[in-house]
Amino acid sequence: INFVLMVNKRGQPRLSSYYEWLSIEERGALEAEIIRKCLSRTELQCSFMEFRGYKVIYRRYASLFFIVGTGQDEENELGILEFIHCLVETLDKYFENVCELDIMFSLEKAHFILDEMLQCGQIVETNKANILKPLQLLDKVSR
Amino acid sequence: IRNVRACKTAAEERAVISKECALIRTSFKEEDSTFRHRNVAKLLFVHMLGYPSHFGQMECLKLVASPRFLDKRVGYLGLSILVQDSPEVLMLVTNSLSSDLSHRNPYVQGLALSALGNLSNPDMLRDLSGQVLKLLSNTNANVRKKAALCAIQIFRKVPDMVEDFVPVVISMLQDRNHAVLLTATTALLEVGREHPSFVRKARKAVPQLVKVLKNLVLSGYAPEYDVNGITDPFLHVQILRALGALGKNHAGAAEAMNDILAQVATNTEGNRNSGNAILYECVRTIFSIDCEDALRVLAINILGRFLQNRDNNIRYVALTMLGKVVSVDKDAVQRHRDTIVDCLRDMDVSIRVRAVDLVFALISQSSIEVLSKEILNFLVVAPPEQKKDLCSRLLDAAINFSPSKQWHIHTLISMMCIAGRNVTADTWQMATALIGQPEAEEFRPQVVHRLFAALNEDASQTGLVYTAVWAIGEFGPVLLQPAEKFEGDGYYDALSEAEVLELLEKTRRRHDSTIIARSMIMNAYAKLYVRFSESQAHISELLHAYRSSMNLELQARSCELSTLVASQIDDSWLAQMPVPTDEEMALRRVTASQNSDEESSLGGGSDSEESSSEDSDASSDDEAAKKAARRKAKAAKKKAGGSGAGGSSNELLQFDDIFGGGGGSGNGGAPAAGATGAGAGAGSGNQMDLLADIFGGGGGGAAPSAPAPAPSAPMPSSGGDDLLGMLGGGPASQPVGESFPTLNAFEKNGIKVTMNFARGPGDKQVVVSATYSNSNSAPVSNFLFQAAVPKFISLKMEPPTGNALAPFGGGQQQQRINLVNSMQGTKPIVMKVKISYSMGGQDLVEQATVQGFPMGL
Repeated sequence: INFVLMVNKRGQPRLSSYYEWLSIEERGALEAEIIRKCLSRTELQCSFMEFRGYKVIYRRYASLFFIVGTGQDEENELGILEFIHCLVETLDKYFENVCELDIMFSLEKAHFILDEMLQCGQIVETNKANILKPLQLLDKVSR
Repeated sequence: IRNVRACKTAAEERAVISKECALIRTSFKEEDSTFRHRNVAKLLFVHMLGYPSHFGQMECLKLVASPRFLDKRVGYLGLSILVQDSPEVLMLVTNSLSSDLSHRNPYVQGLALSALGNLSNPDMLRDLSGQVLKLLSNTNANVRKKAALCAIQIFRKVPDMVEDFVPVVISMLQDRNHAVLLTATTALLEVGREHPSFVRKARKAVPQLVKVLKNLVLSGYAPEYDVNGITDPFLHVQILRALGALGKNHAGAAEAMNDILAQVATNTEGNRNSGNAILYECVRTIFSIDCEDALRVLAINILGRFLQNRDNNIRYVALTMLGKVVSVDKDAVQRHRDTIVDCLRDMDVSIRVRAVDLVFALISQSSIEVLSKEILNFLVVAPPEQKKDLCSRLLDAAINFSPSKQWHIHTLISMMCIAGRNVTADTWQMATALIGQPEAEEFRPQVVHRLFAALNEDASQTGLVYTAVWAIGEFGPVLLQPAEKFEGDGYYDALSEAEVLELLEKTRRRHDSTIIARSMIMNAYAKLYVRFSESQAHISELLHAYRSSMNLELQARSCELSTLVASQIDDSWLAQMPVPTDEEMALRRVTASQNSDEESSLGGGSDSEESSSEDSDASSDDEAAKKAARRKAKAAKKKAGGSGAGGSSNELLQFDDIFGGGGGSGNGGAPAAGATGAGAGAGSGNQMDLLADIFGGGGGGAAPSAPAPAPSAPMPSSGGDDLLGMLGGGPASQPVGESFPTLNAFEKNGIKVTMNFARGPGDKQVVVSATYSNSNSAPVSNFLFQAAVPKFISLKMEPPTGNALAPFGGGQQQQRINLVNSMQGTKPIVMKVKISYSMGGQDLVEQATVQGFPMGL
């Protein structure tokens, strides 16, 4: 997996995590183009796209687009869709009825969760209890 | 963040952010440690929005060094996001990382591991790999799983350490924790894929993997890992992938997997996405190892089921997979042909793209007619960028598989009717060749009628226009009789000569007709003059159309052709032209693809590097002129229309540009830049050159001052001679009279070029006979002599007698070069030459300036 983005419907990135180095201008351009393509697709079209050598898998949850980009021919697309869903469920469990604002205001927590699940571009953990344990500990300590 | 959100405009946002950054910077300077982590978190947000945030990098380092967990956490996060590209900063972190890796607290260790993995700087990894190896066997599962992922990064960046890690990773497979299993499997997958030298070791893991998978499949309900009824689909998928990577090319491993693959394929439920994901991965694995046929059949059946699923995602995935399978097993995929063809009409563009690829792969002798109809339908709705690609692929398919010439021609015509604007020169050249071939005689009337009707309907498709105009010109009389339509849909009525001429005139007058089209129409008139006996007066009038045109090519043609028909014309001059056979066309296409194959749309003339063209034998001036013109067209960035090349005829005589790759300059710009690209590479010299000439309407004319030139009108070719006998005097006959000293133009490495001069019959014309000889002990082949002259001289080169120079001075070749020095007497001739040849397996190129031409020439 090369990158994970959460972009809202107006094109503003809410979370971006890159697993290979891209300069800031490249990132901006990439995000803008991808969100434009995603926005122009309808419900009936499939969730996979090819873009600039990446395979892009996306899914829309309420006002946020969850976008995952992988290299060509590497990942199982259906599996990644499952992963996106798992991610959303984990965020939901932690934030209780997560919405876009939650992610915006606790950006670093969202990053922590994502980092527990995805490391160096590979899926590490999908068990919600295990993912959230360090975070819950952290919260307890800093109270 | 709330403030930023409240901004209404981008400028406001920038203001808020810069204020905040200033505050952050001051607070950093004050070394305030309590709020440092908050500030860095703010910086993360800022960075995500795209603003520069590098001043926070040192702060991240300080955070990492702090003993508080929260600080460390934010510090590492900041590091991974903000600092990825500066290795110097990263080196400073290595120390903290190292101490954190041996920390008591497993969470800290975990943190350090993930940071190390994400940063993946090769030096850091190398230094710390020892510690990572130890941590792979740590008691805490958390730590183990992260260590495994770190190991993957090590595999990627520091490949020599793979050996040490593999056995430990394999032992991790005994673990019960799914996450550890997952990461260990991923590590093995990585080894299997990227490090084939260690695969043997990793293969020992296969039985263990199979066992784990079996447990997974058979295990009961496990709540933490359950997704829609399937236990841990992620682990399923990873194991399958690892099996695929490890079992590749290894029959033993493949055998061990057969049972479990069959079991997974049959038992997994496909009604939820997770199940489908597993099935998909199973299919992928089956096709990457060589397994027994039963499994393959099973896999294709699964794909067939996917294709019929209503969910677009699943269909997309199935089409992708089928695309890969089709190269292995075509017949199995044929069964699903109808479904695939349906996908061509789907609303979803991703699916359509995949379906098109598949359809092309499926085309075979039996299915071509049906499938090409589908593709033509698709062509109508395809986006313009895709059209060109589709056309060329369809062209290839048609050449390989077409059942009959008649069908071939009609398909090409249909293609041009839909996308004539986007086809390459290949297409209409092929079409014209096919129409002209003698085998096409019986259905020629119907073809020409069809072209006429198509042209009448829509003259904006350039490819179609060229083909139609050419066909009407060549075979005009056929239109005067009725003909049956292709596939028997009725009859075309007979037309009168006036109607034919009217259509041509209408096409000519269109505002968007290209220069090439207009030139071809002029040619067509000339041909029809001979063929249509009643309308000769009308045609002579029509030929006057461009007598005073600003475009040199058009004016030349108009004047020349008018004069031609007005003088005593012999019918044989405008008789039917000989057409290349299939083998010759194939040869052309091969050399064209070696040369500049990038003729995008017609007349545009974008081309690849000219250096490859030196291999071809093209050395006539027309070829060179076209190449030069094409380069000009490219440099001037003129689009389809060809007018660029036509208009830049003056620049053809530019010294250095020609030398960029072309060769001698012709004159009267060869506007058919794009068109003749394919023709340029023809093998056998004269005949081909002329034909290429005709196709493109190249500037075959001599100096514009000459009254009746070697016209570009079609003629029975015979070695480049002028059409009208009266011109024979010039180039053909040996110049006599004044004698000039022989000039040693070039001598180097045993290759010698000598030139003999004589005055030509034309005004200020000089005829140069160049002789090439080779005094080396090795023979020379592919000898190519190119010359460029300054603007005031015009150059025309005839083809040489041959390209091979035998050693020791035997086997000399000669070439005649015509020069017209408009400043004869005031300025001497200067010439730059470029010689390329192959000797002893090497390709050599020499350049030189030739001086010492006799004065008065």
